[in-house]
Amino acid sequence: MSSTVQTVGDEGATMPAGAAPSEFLSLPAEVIERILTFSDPRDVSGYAQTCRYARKLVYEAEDQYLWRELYLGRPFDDLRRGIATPKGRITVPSLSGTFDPSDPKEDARWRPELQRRVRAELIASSGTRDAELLQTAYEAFLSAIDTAIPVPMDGADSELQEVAAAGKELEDRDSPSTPAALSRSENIRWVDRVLRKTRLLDVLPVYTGAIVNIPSLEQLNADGSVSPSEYDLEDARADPDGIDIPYPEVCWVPSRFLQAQQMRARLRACVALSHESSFEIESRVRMAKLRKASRAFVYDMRKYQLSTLWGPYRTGEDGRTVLANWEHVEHILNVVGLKLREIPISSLGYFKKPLFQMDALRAYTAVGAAQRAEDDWAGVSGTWRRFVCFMDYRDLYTYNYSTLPPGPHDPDFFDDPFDEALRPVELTLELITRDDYLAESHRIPFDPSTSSTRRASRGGPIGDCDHDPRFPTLYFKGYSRGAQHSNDATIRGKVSTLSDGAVRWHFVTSYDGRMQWGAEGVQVGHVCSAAGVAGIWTGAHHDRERIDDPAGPFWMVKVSDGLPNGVLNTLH
Amino acid sequence: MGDSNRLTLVASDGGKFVVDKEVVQMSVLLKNMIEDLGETDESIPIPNVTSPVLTKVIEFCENHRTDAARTDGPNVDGDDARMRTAVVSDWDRQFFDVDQDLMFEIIVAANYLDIKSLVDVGCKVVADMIKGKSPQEIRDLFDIVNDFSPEEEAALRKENEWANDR
Repeated sequence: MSSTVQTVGDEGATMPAGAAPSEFLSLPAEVIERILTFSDPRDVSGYAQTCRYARKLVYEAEDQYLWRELYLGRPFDDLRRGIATPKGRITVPSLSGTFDPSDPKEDARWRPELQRRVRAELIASSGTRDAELLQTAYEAFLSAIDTAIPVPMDGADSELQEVAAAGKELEDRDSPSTPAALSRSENIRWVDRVLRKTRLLDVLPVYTGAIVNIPSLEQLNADGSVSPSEYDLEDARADPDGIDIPYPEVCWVPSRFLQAQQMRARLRACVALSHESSFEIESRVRMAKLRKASRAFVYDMRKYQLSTLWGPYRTGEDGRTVLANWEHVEHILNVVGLKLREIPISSLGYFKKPLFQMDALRAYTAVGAAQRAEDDWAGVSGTWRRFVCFMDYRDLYTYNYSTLPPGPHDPDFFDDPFDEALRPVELTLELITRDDYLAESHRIPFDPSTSSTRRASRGGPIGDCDHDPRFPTLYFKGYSRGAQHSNDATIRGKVSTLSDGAVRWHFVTSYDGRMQWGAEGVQVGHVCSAAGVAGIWTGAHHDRERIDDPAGPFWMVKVSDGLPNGVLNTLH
Repeated sequence: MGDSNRLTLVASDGGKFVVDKEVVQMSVLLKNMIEDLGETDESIPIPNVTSPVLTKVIEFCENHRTDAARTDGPNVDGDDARMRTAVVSDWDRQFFDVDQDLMFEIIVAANYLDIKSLVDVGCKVVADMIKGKSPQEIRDLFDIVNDFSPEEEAALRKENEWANDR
C-alpha cells in the first residue's frame, strides 16, 4: 500500500506528513468519501471536525457527490424529481426564490437542504419553544413537502388516486394498505413521522426578545388581544395546546415572527388533523378545543373584508399585497374536517370524504391528474366535490352582532349543542380562454384586486401577480349542483398565483344568471394534489363593504364520479 | 496447471494463490485483464497487494462467489444501489474483525482490484466504527492529529452547528 500524501482539491490541506501518519487518512480520498456516504450526516460532521484534511474533504469537495449521496441515502426524495412551485415561496430551497428541479444550478442544494433537515429533526426532538429555532424547523419541513416527488404520471400509480376518490376511512393512521407504498415519497414519510412523533406543531413558539407593543386598555378588553408571549409565560404549562387562546389580533409582533406563525399554521393545515385519533381521549380533547377556536375564527365576520378579498388571505407589509393566510386555511380545514369526521360513513353515503393523509399533498395525487390537458397546470377541469359548511343565519348574526351579554364573538357560543350544517355540492369545471372569460362582462366575478378593477390611487388590494410564466392564470366555467337542486347553478372563476407563491381559487356561483355566492380559496398542497382547495364563501356582491353578508368555510377535492340524484342534501 | 478454470495470482511478496476463475472475476480489474490476455497459463502478478491481504481478499471472494451474479446486475452501480442501511452480515463483520491496519489494507486492495462488494462492506464497517463518536473520539480511533488553529476551531463550530444538539 502506498503511503504517498493524498491531496484533496487543488491546494492545501495535505495529509499531515508527521511522524506516524494516520492509516485512516492514508486511504484514497474516494474510499474515505465512500465511507462517509455510509455514515449518518451527523457523523460526517464529526469527522469533518477532526483535522483540516478531513474538513476539506467534507466541506470543500469539488463536486456534490458526497452530499448528494448523503441526502439521497437518508433517504430523501431526489430534488431533481420534484415539481416546480410558483415563484415566491420562501420555503423552497433555492437561491433564486424559484424552485426549478431542472435547473442544473440546483445541484448545489443537496448540502444546505440536508443540513437544515437534520437540524430540523434535532430541533423538533429537543422540545425547544424558541421561535427562531422553531421557524428554522418549520422551513425545513415545508421545503420537504414542497420538494416531495409527485405521483408518477404513467398511470401505474392510479391506486393512490382511487383511494382518494373512494373516500378513505378517516380513522386513522398508518393503515396497512397505505397507497403510497407504490411510489412513496420519502420526504412526506419523514415529515409525517417526525411531526407525529415529536408533536412539534402543538408547541407554541416563544418570542424571546421580541418587542411587543403593550396593548392599550381598550385593546385588552377586546377579544383575542392576548399576545403569544404573554400567554406563554402564564398558561403554557397548564394548557400546552394553547388552543383556547385565539390568534392575536391587536398586538404587534415583528414580521419575522408573523412568518413563523404562518409557517406553523401552514404545516398544521398540511397535517390536517391526520395525527389526531378519536380513539384517544387526549386527542379528542385537543380536537374539541381546536374546533371551538376554529369556528370562532371562521364565522367571525370581521375576518371578511375588501382588503383580503373576503377570503382566507392576509396582506403583506405594504398593507395591500394579498397573501395566503395559512392560519385561516388551517381553521377552515379544522371546521370542515371535524364536521366530516363526525358524520358516519353510512349517512354520508355517496358524498365521499377527502383523503386525510399527508400523501394527498403531493403533486398529481388528485383524481384525473394524469389525464389533464397540458395547459391545465392546476387540474381545474373535471368533477369536484365541495363540502360547504354554514351556520344558521340567526346564529351567525347572534354570534357576530349580539348586543346582549356576553356580547359578540364569544367563543363559548360554539359550545354544545351548537352545530353547523354541511352541504356537499358537485362542481363540474372546464377551462375557458381568457377572452371567453372576459367576453361577457356581466358574468365576470368581481375581483377588486385585479389591475383593471383596482383603484390603485385609493390603495386597493393587490391580488394575482402573474409573474411566473409557468403558472399563468387559468379561467374556467362550469356548473354546480346540490342533490336536491333541480336547477343547476353556473360557475365562473379563475386560478391564479399570489406573490407568496400560493395558488388562489376565485369563483362565483350564479342562479338564473344572477351572481349569488362568491368563493375564495387556497390550494392546500402541491399542484393537482388530492388535498384540494380550502376556502371561504360569501355573498357575491362585494361592490361595497358590507357586513351583513353571511360567510362560511368550504373544502373541495377532485372526485371521479358524479353526485347521484335523490340522496341527502344537507347534513346536520 | 492446465486447469482452465483456475488461475494463479502472485502477491507482491511472491506468495502464489491458485484460485477459481469465477472467484477471480469478482475483481473487475482482473476480469478485464483475463479478457485481454485470452486463454493463458501464465500467473497474474498483483504487485500492490501482500500475501496476508490477498489471502483475506480471496477468502471474501470465495465466500461471496454465489452472489457474484449481483455484481453484474444493474442494481449495483448507479443510484439504485442505495442500500444505505449500513447492514453488514455476521460473516462480513467477523471477516473484518482484524486489526485496523489490515482492515484498511484490505479495503485499499479491494479498491485497487475493483471489487465493489468488498469495498462497500469495508466502508460500512468503518462507518460503523465512527458512528456516534465525537471528533476527539474519532481522532483517537484513527490516530488523527488535530491541526486546527483556535480561530479555525471557532469557525468549525459554526460550520457544524446544523448537526449539533444544542
